[in-house]
Amino acid sequence: MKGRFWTVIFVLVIPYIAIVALFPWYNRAEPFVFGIPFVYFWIFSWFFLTSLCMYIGWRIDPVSIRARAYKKAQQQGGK
Amino acid sequence: MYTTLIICAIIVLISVFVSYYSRRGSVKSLDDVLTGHRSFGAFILFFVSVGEIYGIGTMLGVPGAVYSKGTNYTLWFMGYILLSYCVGYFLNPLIWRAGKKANLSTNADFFGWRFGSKGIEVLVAIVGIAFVMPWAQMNFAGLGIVIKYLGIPIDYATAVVIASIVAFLYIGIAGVRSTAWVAVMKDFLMIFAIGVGAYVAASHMPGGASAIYQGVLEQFPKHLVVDTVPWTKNVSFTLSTIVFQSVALYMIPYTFQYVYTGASEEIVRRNQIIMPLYMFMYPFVILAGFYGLLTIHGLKNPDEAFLMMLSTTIPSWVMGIIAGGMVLCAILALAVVVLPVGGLFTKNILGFFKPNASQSELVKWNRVVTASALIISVLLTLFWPQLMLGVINMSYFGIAQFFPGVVAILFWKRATKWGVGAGLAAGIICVIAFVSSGYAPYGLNKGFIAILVNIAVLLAVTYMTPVDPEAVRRCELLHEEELV
Repeated sequence: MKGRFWTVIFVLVIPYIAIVALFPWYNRAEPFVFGIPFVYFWIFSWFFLTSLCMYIGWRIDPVSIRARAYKKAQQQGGK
Repeated sequence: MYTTLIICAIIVLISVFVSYYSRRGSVKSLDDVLTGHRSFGAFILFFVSVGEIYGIGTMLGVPGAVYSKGTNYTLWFMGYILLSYCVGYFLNPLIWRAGKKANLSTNADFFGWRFGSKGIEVLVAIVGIAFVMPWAQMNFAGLGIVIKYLGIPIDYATAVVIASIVAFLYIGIAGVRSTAWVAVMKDFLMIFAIGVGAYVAASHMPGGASAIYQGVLEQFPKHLVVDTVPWTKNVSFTLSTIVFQSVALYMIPYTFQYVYTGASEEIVRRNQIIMPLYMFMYPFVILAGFYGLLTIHGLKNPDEAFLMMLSTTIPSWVMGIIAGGMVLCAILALAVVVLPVGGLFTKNILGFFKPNASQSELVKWNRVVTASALIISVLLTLFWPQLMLGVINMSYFGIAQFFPGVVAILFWKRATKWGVGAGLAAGIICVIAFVSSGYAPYGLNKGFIAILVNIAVLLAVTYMTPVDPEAVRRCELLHEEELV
């Protein structure tokens, strides 16, 4: 996990805070946002936000950066 | 009046053809049956990995739970699935890498390889089989509900037997390849069904979706948020269950199978990123569930809410497509459950007694084991349903006990087989003790406590046993990146 600190923050820590730690705060019916009770609005939003966080974490994930660089080098070598 | 039934039957037949054409040549080795030779690209890996997570439980169980329990249930359900994708981002690519380096195809292989131990391999296989089998039962229950809405009555026993035969065909024809392509078909049908459900709900309610939620707020305010009183029963249970199940989801033996089908580590990693987006289905099923709550009163079996709502409003051919999709979900889930049972038994338990068996022999044995597993679950469902209900309650708790071991295998060089084995055993004993006594401190999830005990035993026993240099070397090997 060396060098993956920010990846862990984005992929693991932020979503767990949003869903588990903030539960007492977001567990409320009102206000309605787009006609949806707040608790549902919150959790539905996090379907997209979690994916976004994972995407950011993946972009900066050193393991993945190396894999992508390797693949690119290989493709160029192949041509 | 036969329209619904006929369309449903046609869909099941098509799925068998889809399965047949997914073969790509003949299936010669057990690895091909279990992992499709690690050849799946991004598209098919996605469908294979969502195949079981979103099934009949999503279409019937979620609206049913909205109807009977409201947000108390839906919140932990959505929360744990969402967070499990985050956990999977870190675990699955490494599990895949181990699989590639050592040619693994089951979770027992994975444990056995890291410690070079046949004993732990067999232990993991037995635990895996024992706790994954009840999943078959749950799908039979879902099937039992769908057949009531086919227009003409079909015997529950007949439906269960037919479903098992079709599930066996999938596995017998092409193993994991079949389940993958049938999963694609199933997902399109399922999205259709959920779309129709939400459309019916929103269009039959003056004011649409927001009026449904407003109605629930006025008439059933307790269904709209998680009840915080009493704290121990709801809040600590909800949150510990979310955390517990989010680590448990990827421990189910068949998810190892899926990870191993991926063509590269990056494909597995990227797959995790898209997964949360697929949860877009939940807003629709939840809306349908709340609509059911407002319009249908006094339903005996809440899981019928979704179908009950549809059956009175849509034409029978649409109902046929929806029922077909649901039946397919149940059959596919059945196939997906018995696939690792076949793999674990044939490769890890039988392989222990017959180490020199040839690949074609293993493929044959796998078919025999798969058929036996299906026959056993049919018999249990039909004749001893109560027995299985007890085990279903335990199955998630039991499966999750693999988690500390998997993390130790991936990230802790010092871990020994004795530590991991003892932790697993202690966790399972705790689960059985908690479930049979019905007691759980502070209202916490029982499996959550068992995992803590599991971790404590794992740490203690590991430090009491000598370091195994070969196990350390294999952990280091695991962290040498697989650049493909």
